[in-house]
Amino acid sequence: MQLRREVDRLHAHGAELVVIGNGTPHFARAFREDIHLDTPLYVDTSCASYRALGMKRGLARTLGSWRTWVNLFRALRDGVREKRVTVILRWWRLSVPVLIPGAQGDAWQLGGVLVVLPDGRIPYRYLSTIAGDHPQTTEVLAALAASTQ
Amino acid sequence: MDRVSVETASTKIWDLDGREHELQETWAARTAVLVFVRHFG
Repeated sequence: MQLRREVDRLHAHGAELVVIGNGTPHFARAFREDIHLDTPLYVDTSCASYRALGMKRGLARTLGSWRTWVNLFRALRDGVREKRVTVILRWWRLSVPVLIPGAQGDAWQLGGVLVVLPDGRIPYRYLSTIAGDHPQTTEVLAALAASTQ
Repeated sequence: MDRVSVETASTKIWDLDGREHELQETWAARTAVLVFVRHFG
């Protein structure tokens, strides 16, 4: 969710950051509080929107690459810079989808980022190929800037 | 340039109050940067 730090720049381009997750509203609220998100947030527990937009899903895709574990390590390492409790909670939250299926979301469903114009055109689409696979924020911002010229 | 299909645009999503929306509502008024997260955690 690096993009949440660029909300002002998104707004300057006339765009809004919209987050969609596949967990329950309960965990969505906790997520929103945890990362101080004040942009629109929705849930899609059936993952219909994920499938419709071509996002990938699967155990092998989620855990089957060494890059997944590198991404997990980096996420937790970044957490070490915060308080230890936060790191532990983050580890727990990462584990919950596996321990309690459907709670925080479908653990095997990968996500992505799209820029969608009001007329429905998609000038930018990034579909994650493994867990922890995210586009560079600069890439998204560049695509947004190009689409609004 | 790709375009969201009519079928995909009408896919249902829900706000945190349980109200149903269509996916296209997220970009109807202005450009949307849609971030689909893997899970809330």
